[in-house]
Amino acid sequence: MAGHLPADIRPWNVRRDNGLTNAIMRETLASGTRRFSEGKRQVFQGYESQEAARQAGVQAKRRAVAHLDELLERAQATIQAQGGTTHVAATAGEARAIVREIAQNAGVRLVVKSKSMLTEELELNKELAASGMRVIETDLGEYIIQLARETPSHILAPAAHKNRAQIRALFEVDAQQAHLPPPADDDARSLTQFARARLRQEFLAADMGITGGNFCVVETGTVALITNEGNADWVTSVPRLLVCVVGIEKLVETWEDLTHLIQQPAMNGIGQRLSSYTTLISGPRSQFGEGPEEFHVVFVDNGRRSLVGTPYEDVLSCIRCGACLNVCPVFRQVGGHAYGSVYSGPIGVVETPLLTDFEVGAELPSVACTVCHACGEACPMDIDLPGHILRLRQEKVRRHLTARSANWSYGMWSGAWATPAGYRRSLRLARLAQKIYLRRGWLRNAPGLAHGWFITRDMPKVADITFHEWWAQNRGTGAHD
Amino acid sequence: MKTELGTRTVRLFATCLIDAFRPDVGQAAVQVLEQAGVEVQFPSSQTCCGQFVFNAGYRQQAAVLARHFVSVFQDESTPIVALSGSCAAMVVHEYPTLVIDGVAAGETASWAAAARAVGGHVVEFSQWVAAHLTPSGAAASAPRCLALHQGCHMRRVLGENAEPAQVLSRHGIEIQELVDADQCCGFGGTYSMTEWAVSTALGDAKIAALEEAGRRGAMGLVSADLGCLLHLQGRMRRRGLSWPVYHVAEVLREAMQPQGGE
Amino acid sequence: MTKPWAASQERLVQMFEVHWREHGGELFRVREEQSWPHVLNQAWTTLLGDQGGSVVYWVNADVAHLNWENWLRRCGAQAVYGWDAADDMRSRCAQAVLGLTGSQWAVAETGSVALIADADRGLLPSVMPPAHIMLVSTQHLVETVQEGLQQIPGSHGMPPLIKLVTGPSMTADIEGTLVVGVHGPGRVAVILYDTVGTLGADELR
Ligand code: SF4
Repeated sequence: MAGHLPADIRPWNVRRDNGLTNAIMRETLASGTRRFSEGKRQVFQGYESQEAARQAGVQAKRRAVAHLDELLERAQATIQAQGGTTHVAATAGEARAIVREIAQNAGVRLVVKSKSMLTEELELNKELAASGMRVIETDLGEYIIQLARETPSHILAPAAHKNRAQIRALFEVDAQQAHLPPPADDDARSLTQFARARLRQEFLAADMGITGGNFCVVETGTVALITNEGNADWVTSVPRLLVCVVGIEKLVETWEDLTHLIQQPAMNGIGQRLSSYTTLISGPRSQFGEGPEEFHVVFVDNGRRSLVGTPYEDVLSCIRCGACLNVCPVFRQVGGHAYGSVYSGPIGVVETPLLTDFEVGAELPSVACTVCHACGEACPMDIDLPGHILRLRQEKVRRHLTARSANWSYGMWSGAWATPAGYRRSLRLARLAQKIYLRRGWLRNAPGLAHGWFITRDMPKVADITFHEWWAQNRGTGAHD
Repeated sequence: MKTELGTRTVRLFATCLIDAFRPDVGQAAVQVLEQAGVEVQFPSSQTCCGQFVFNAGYRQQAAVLARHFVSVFQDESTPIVALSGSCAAMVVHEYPTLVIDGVAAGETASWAAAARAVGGHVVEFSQWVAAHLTPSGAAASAPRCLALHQGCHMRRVLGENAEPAQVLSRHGIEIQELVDADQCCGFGGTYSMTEWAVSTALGDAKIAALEEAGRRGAMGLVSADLGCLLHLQGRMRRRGLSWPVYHVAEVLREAMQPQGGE
Repeated sequence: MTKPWAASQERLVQMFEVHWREHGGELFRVREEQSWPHVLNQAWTTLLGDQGGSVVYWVNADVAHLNWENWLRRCGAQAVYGWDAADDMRSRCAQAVLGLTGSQWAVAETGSVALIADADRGLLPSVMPPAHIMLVSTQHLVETVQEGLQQIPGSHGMPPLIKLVTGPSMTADIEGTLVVGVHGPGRVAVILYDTVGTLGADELR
């Protein structure tokens, strides 16, 4: 069954142009993604064991996807045996209802969250807010965009599109409402200091914490959370109620699988051997210990299962490391918002139409990829991202999601060029027809499909003597001897 | 330059872009090879590898072109020297599964085998030159220092990285690496037409990198892929910039000219 | 003569030091018991300067007999609270200038320290205060994360809460500028110490 993803319904060209004209964002993204990619390159140097671990991790993820139903059963049993409560949601709507009910039953009024793409996918905050709860994002970048009422522009750097002045302005308003002194200036440190103090108020007052999960280990019932800020540790240690919302594709079978995978997100995404905090939660607090009194894990499908057994199955191995975003040339130019989906970059191009059966992001495979293969090279989970993007383009042609004029052009093109005579004829024709578009020997325009080229570029004209013609004249028959 | 082992024969795969828009690149390649004593054949029924059509998602239509290519090149086993890394990658990596699209069940195996065989003979131009020709004589009239742009398919699909720089530096040409060299120039086949805005933004980033390399001494841009070059050159021309762009074959031809001579 | 065991342990110490410092962590070493007060003072000064304030702490059993409260006071602590999982621990941690904790094991090749929560060992001292000192026994150094994690699902079952600390709390969310001390401690130190005698299996868990 297809899932549902929130969509920015503005057309692609509007979203794209917003990105292309946002100089701050492009600057921040370029330096950030460059730094991450360079960091990744360096961190793997002289650290061969992690290459072996990566490969073992790929195998673990592939195995898990192949046994999803069985693993899901077992994971639930383990978590329950350790005193946790589990839930399974087939759809986004079910997932929202489950979390809302947990919160309502416990009389929750304030929720603190650590970063989770899945809860963005579910639009969980809206649901909880509609039931009268306050929901606070505690990852610094997420908090900034929550104040701005926006969505993340990079899975690792959600507020990459905001500059310091904008952030300071947001914090000043927030400070007034929270009766706190505003940030001293717009230095990144002062802004961070403000957020620390501000979010501390919320952490200490919260009744419920919500996290995602980077991995969920079946045999130990463990949810693994990886952060650099340490907000997940507040969320897991302080509120009395904890809800981890986990995609079913996050399951891995064994603790050993986890040991292979645990370093991969940071190694590949930001070029660190491990993020600052790796938090492993396997149940509610024991009698005197620390952690939540109540521990819930909500497993979410929302379209994921529909990929099992298809050529796209490996997409479910994604560990959300961000490496593919970091190397994607299109992402660097247009930024995350242009994709109009929670998931951006190459994985978003593939995942958005797939999870929603082309309801959302059907345009992405065509418009957001130059087929440069950088993502395929970068992906630590060996997901065939470029192959999938091509496959999705083909799928669009099959499903008649492409423009008729384009279908006609490509059909004519291949039909004519499949014979030498047709090929030569079309070039002769082009040579005649191009005359009206020539200026000082260069093409300035052309009709049809090619028109887009000439909006920003010139093109040499079709040569007076093509290579074929030159060869026939100069080497012709007999030149082979 | 001389071949290592006396006379050799190669078949030239010129590509449609060179054929139609920059035939001089094809001529340069022929001259470089012939001057080194290589016999060059040009199977004149060749048209286009179909990559544009394939990358746009028109698999069936691309398969028609792929089968035409295979039937043109399948009968012999001399090396097929491709004047584009990207087109070479298309034939080598996509054809074996592509050619069977739309073929009757009984014929798929033979088409796939033929495509694999043809792919096995395809070698990108600079790669072939690096492996088989050795430079001779004092090189001369080529630009002394160039920035190198490696096409993405050549870099990642073909997995070829060192050869273009290698053959150029053997002729004493200094190569300047571009900043963000591994970033796509934005060409992407018909992506350059259908998504011209992003394509152009990427092109401008690459041009900025070229200008920066220019401050380090680069006198122009060289690549083994004409598609990228046409896109960048066309953009520069529209912006009133005039950095020269060269295909590797053109630079090699210049490098092999005797000083001052034509 | 150095024993082979000691040599390999020394290699891990060096590896740990490189990677822990790489993240911006401070490192100190205690080789014999009498240098504890001095080293503790050094660590305090490095993290807190001459700042005073309250401290929440717990330590591993092998060093529990030492005079922590006294030493911490001499460093500048105005109040010293031992962790006891009482409800007011949360507000004490929120007010503390320093958390001092023991650890289960540490990973040399990543520069990470593992903390496991139970009745006498909370994680809050490692989360809430602006500075955190971790005591790591050189006997508990392992080379890889895998080796460390393999010790975990022990005979006592799965501990509910485990945490690996690999440097200070940090973010680059504002224009890509690296800032430490977002939600967790911005200043972190490890004091590596050589334990005299052997530890019980339970301790190594
Ligand atoms: S698709 Fe691969 S590279 Fe991209 S986020 Fe997922 S795991 Fe990382």
